[in-house]
Amino acid sequence: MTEAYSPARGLTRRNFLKSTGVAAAAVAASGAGALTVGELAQAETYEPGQTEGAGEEIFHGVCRGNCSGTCKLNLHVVDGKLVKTSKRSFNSFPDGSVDRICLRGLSQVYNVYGPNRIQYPMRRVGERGSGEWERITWEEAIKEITDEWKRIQKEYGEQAIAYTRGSGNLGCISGVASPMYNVFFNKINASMIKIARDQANTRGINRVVGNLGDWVLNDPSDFKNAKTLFVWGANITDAQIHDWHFVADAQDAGTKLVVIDPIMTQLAARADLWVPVRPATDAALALSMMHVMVTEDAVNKPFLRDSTCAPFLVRSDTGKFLRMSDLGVEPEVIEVETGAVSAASSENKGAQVGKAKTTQKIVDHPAVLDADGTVKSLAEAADPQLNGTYDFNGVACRTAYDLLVEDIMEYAPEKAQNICDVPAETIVELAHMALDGPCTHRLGWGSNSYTNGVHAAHANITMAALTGQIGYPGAGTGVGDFKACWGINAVVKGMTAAKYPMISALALPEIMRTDKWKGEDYPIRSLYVYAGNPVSNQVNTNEYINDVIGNMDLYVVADYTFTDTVKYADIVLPASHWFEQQELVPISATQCFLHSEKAIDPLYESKSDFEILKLLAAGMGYPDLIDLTEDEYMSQVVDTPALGALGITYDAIKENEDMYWYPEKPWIPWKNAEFRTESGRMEFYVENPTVQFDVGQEFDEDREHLPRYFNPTEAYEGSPTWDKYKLILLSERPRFRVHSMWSDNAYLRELDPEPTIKMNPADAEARGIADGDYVEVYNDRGHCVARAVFNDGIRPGCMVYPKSWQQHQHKAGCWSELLTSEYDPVGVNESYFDNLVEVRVWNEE
Amino acid sequence: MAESKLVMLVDTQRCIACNSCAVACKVENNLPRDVWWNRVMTVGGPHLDAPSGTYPDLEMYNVTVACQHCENPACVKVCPVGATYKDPETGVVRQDYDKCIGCRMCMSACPYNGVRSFNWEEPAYHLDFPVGDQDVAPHQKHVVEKCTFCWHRLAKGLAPACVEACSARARIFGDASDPTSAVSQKLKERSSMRLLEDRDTEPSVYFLR
Repeated sequence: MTEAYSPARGLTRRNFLKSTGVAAAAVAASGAGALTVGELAQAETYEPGQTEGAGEEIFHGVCRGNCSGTCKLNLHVVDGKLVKTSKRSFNSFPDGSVDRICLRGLSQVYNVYGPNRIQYPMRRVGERGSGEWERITWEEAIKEITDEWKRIQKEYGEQAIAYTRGSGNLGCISGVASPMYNVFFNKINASMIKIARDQANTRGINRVVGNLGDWVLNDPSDFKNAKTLFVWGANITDAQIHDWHFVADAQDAGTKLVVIDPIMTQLAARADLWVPVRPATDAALALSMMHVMVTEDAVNKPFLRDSTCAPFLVRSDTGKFLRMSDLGVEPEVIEVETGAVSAASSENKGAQVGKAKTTQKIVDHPAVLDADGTVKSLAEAADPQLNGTYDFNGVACRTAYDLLVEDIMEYAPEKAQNICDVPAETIVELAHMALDGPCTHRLGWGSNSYTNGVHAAHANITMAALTGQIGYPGAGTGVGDFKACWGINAVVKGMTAAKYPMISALALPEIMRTDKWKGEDYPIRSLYVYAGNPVSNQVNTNEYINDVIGNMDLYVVADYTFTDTVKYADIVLPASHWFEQQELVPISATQCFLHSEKAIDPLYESKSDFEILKLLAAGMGYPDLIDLTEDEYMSQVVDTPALGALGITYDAIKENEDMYWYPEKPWIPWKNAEFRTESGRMEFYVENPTVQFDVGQEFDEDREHLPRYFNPTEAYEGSPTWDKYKLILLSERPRFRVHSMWSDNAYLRELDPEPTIKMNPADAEARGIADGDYVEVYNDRGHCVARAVFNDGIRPGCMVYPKSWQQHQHKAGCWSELLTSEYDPVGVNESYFDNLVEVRVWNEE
Repeated sequence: MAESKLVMLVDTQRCIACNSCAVACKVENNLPRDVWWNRVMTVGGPHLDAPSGTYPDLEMYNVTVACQHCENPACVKVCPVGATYKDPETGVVRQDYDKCIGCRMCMSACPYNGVRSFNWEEPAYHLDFPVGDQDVAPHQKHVVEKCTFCWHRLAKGLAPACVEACSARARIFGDASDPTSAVSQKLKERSSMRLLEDRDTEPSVYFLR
C-alpha cells in the first residue's frame, strides 16, 4: 500500500501525482506535469522481480490446465497471500507476440482460496457419492490406502492396483508430463489406465504423415502467411482464446478466414466464409473438395509423385503395396536412428520414452510404374506414374492414387451437398480457395468427436497431399498446435519398466464388469486418480459410476478442489494448487519450456502430488524410491544431451523462466516434405492400418486404407435411436471453464451462473419450450437438467451444452450421463458428440 | 501544459466477448459480489454469443459496456455535491467516494444502463481479503461506483487492467489529444461508433467497426 493517498477518498488529483515513484518518473520525463499517456497506451507488464507496491512480491507462474495455452502469469503475493494473477511476458518472444492471459488465468485467486479447496485428508463414511466424510490424518490416509493396496495385490494380483489421470496439470513433476507416477506405480507393478480422448484426429493424421507429437500444425504466428485459413470444427474463440489474436492478426494481414462449423461461434461470426456443415460429415466435405480438385485436373502432380505414396502400386489381393521383394529383389538393410518420443505423446508406453537409439531397418522398396511402362523400384524409377495398372502374376495392382481417386469420385459436389448440407457451389468455391495457396487447415476436436472422426482427419490431411500445401510458411494441415517438447527424459532415477501394458480408459468398464482383459483374468480393485475428473469428463457417467467405481474396493482421488470424482472417492487426498509448488511445464503451444515458481506455501494440509507419491512409496515399503529433490528430478527430465546442444538446461530454464526449444521460429512441421512414415512420404494410402490403442479389438482393415465417409454411430438422421431421439447433442469448452477446475470459481459463476443448453428457437418452440425454461435433456443413458437458452446460431436439430459443470450445479443429472461409450475400434476415442437426445420442459424443483 | 484526453478504443472485429476484460476489472478492483464495472454484450440475439437473424443467415458482434468517461458527462451535471467530476487533465470522469451522498442522481442521469453500481449494503466479497491491486480505494456502503479507467494504474504508468488483459488486442488506450498516439492513428484509419451518440454525451469509448 502506498501512503500517499487516503484510501477512503480514492485517489485525488494531488495525491495521484505523487502516489508512486513510477508516476513521478513519468511526470519528470514528460516535463509537462501530466501523465505520459501516449507511451502509456500499451504499457502493461512487470519487469521480472518488480514489486508493484510496498509489501507486494511478484513470482513467475504458469497457468497449466490443458486449454493448451500455458500462459505465463505474474503471481502477486501480499503478506503470504496470492492477491492477483496478471499477464507476464515471455522472454523467448521479446516482441510480446505471445503474451496473453484470459478470464480463467485472471480468476485464479478464487481457485486457490475458494471454499471448495480440499483442506485435509478425508475418509468416506456414508454411501459412495453421499458426501459424508470424516477428517483423517495423512498418516491414517496413507496407511489405509497402502494397507488396502497390499491386501488387494495379495488377493487379486499386482495388476489389481491401477492409476489414472486427466489433464489438470501439465507439469513434469506433479502433472501430466511427470515420470514420477511411473516411478512409483511401475515399482509396485500397477496398471496404468490411459484417458482416451482427443485421439481420433491424431490417428487420422499421424497415420498419413507420421508422428511429431499428437497434435502438430504450423505455429499460429504463421497463419498470416496463409492466403486462406480454414478452421474445421475448432472453437478457438472459446477453447483456445490465446490463439485468437493470431487469427485476427492474419485477417489484418489479408488472410481470408473460412470456418467450417455447424455452430455460429464467435470465430464463425468473424469469418469471411462460414460453412454451416451438418455434424459428422467433414470427411464427405473434404472428399468432395478433392473431387473438384481431381476433376478440374488441378492437383499438384509433382508433389504427389515425389512426396506421397500416390505412385505406389497396391496389390488387390492383400491391400498391401507391391514391394520389390515380391519381384524377387532382396531388401536393403540400413542403419537408422529412431526418434525420441516425448513423455506426453500417445506413444508413451510408460517408461521407455525420450531415448533415441539406432536400429537396423530393412528397406523393401515399393514398386512403381515408370514412364516407360515398366515396373521399377521407387528408388530407381525416373518418373513414377500416378495412374496405371500392373498385372503381377495374375494379381491386379493399381496405383494408390488411382484407388484414392476412385474413392473420391463417389463424392461429387452434387452428391456431397446432400450429405453435408453445404451447397455444391460452395463446395466448389471451397476447393478453389484450398487450391489457391498457401492455405492452412486447422482442425479442432469437433469432427474428432464422432466414431467417424479418424476419417475426417485422414481426409483432410489427404487433401494436403493433393495440393502439396504442407511444410512451408502459410501451408499446413493439422490439429492446433500442442505438443510436448522433444528430447525430454522420462527415465529418471528409480524408473523401472512397466510390467503391464497400459489400458484404455474406454476398456475399463468392461474389465470391471468381467474381471477380464483380452480374454485373460485381470481383476482391478483400486484406482488412484490425480490431476483429473473422470466422473465429470469421461463419457457415460452412469456406467462409470456403477461399473467402474462400483466394482472398486478402494477409489482414491488426489485433487485440490472438490470435483464430481472426489465426491465418489473412498479416500480423498488434498493436493496443493499449482502456485504452491515449483514446477516445470514441458508441454506448451508456445514451444517453450516454462518454469513456475512456488509463490505461496501449500494451504491447509495440502501437499504437492510429488510429496504425496513419496508418502505412498514409503507406505508400500519403498521409503527411498523417490529420494531426490524436485529440482534434481526436474533436472533429470530436462538435462539431456539433445536439449543441452540447444543450450537448454534446467538451470537455464529456471533463470529465463521460459525457453523456446524448437530449433527454428516459427515452428512449421513437415518442412521440405519430409515425413515420418516408413517411406518418408505422405502415405494417404495406409498400407498397414493400426489402432490408436490395442484393446484386443477387431476392425475392418479395408476401410482404413483410405479416407472414407460413413455415418457415425448415433448422431445422424436415421440412426438406430432416431425413432426416439432427434437432436444431436454437441458440447463446447466454454471460456468460463474450459475444464472442470474452474467450475466453482465464484467470479466466473457470476457471469455464467448455472448450466445452460443452447437451442435453436425453432427446436425449442416445437417442444413447447420457452427461453429460460428449465429443461430435461435425456436419452437411454441418462439425463441432465439445465436452463434453455435460445440462440439462432445453433444449427436446427442440434443442441449445444457448455461443458464441465459439476453434478451439484445441476438440478438433476449431469451432461456426461448422456454421452455414448461406444467407440471406433481404430480411434479408440471418446466420441463426445456422437449422441442423440430429446428435451422436454422440467417442472420439478 | 497540454491537457490530455484519455480514450478507449474497442475493436469489434477483434472482440470475441471472452470476458477477460470484465474479470480483470473485477479482480483488479476487488469488486464486491455481483458488482461489475465492465461487461460484455453480444449485439444480436437475447444472450451472450447469440447472433441476430435466422440460421444460417446470421450476424453477431460484441460491445463492452463500462463508464464512457464522456466529454460531456450527464452524471457530472446532476451531482449535487461534486462527488462526480471530470478530471481536467486527463478527461477521466471520477467519483469521490467520500463526497458521494448516495443520492444516485448520477445513475438516473447516465444514459448507459448498468455502468454504475450502488452499494446498498456493506460490500460483500467472495474472499475474506482484498484481492487485486492493493492501491485500489476500498469500497464503501451507500456509495456509487464505476469504472475509474484504473486510476490507480494510470498513476503507475500502467494501462487499465482491461487493456492489459485483452489477449485479442482489441483494446487500445491512450491520449486522443496527441495526434501521434496509437489511438489517434487508429481513429483516423478505421471507422468507429460510440454508444448513444444522439445523447450528446460525447463518450470517450469508441468501437472500431
